Amino acid sequence: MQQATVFSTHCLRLFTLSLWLFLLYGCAPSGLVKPLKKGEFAASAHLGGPMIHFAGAPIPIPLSGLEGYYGLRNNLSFSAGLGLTSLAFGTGQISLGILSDLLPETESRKIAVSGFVKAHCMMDRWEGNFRFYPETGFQAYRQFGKHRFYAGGSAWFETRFPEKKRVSNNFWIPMVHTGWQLDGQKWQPSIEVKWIAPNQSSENLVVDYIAPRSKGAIGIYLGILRKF
Amino acid sequence: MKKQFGILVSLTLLLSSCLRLDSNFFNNSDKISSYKWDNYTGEREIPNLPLSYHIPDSLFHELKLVSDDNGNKASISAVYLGDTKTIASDTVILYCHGNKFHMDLYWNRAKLLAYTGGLGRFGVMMMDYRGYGLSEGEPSESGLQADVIACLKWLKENGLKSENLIIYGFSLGSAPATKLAVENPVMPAAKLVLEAPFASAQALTEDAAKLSLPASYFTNIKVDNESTIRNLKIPFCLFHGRDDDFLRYEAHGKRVFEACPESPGKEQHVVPGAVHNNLPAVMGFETYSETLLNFIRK
Repeated sequence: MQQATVFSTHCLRLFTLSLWLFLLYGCAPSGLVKPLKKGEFAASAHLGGPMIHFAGAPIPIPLSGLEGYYGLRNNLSFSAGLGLTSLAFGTGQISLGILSDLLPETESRKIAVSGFVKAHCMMDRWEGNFRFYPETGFQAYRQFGKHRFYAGGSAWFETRFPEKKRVSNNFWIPMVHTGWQLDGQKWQPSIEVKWIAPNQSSENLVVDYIAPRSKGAIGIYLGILRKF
Repeated sequence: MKKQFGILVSLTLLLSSCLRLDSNFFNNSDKISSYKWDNYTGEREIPNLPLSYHIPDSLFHELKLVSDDNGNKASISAVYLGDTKTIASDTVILYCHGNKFHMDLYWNRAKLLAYTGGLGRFGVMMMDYRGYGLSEGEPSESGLQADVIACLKWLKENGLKSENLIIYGFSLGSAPATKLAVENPVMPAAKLVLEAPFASAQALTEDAAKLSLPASYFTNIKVDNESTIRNLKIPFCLFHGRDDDFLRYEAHGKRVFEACPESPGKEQHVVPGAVHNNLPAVMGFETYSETLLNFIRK
């Protein structure tokens, strides 16, 4: 009976699986961890997403995006991102934000902390539905030669709350992340692991996320950043 | 700067594609060359139905009907369990199945309904939507309704009276069932039964996303049972698994049930331990049948 149940619930799974894609685009990797110098440009691309069990095998949902950065000051960078996955569904998603060093690296402080705020704006071409979600987060990072390791947390916030028609009363999606970047002169490849929505049960959902204690989902992302 | 902005906008529009998930709403991937009914060896809904639930040949009728979806005609397959000569005096349950596969998968459900109140107490009609099983065409939201309407027309032509029509929708089937029970395009129904319905495409989206993402970001499907059922004026019975692992009761069934204040004598049966597709088995076949019988008779 259980086997039949699992199999049958695949009926709408393909539909709803992709519904999660969009939300979890928001769970893109950090991209820029350390602010650029004033006047510097950089661009990054990333690929990856939450790990799910699909047809018995663990796979990452393939999400992708592009982001550009500009150093407004030595410790303050502007970012603008474009979601490619959402674009494929006819929904434009841009993210505008700033990243700043909250605790810069010094001789005595080897671990620096940067923080960011972002505004995610989306609108589809079908009905013109617009959504806006703010995001904020931080990461602590430390440099070992050309290797930069970092860890931090972030959260998306609901802006249409409360609303009677809404199914979910959830008002935020928290995330914690850790990753590595190669601090190259021009190219900076990276890999990041993110625990998305650890406050949400991922049991009894239509997507079988891989997550500790069935909470949220674990995402894996590959990224490449190019400085100009 | 203007030129660069123009290039960016053009590039965005160029990249923006029309990928939609509408077709993923319908899972008709199991292609068959014939219906096997009792001899079907594939996956079944309620696979443990006892063999005693047997439909004799005299009460089994395979049908081919023409369904017209705004000029898009398709030959669809249907089955009627009961005596076709007594439809004018019988009560008939019109069963709209879920989104997966075809009538073989739901055969045991149809048999269970045919045994409600004893074999022959009710006629049961079930169809494969266009694109499902041996039905021609491609599934679509409007096609679902057209296909159920084709069955309603057949029942009406065979004398069914509207006070004897019970529409039963399971999961995806709740969409055409609800719409037709409210809009009465062929004949009014006497009662509506929904099992594990979904509230709307929007509810599906939000329940999965946990944020207020619009359904339009992913699909053009507009199914909204929660809104449609507000105008329901006939008795309504809801069955929903408390532990539905697919369409949560709180996000779907409960919202649908609470959305129809004008349904006289509406009732709901939220079954602990039942998930999306095993409610009759968890409830117990006899208890399920008795509950349904009591609702139809009251």
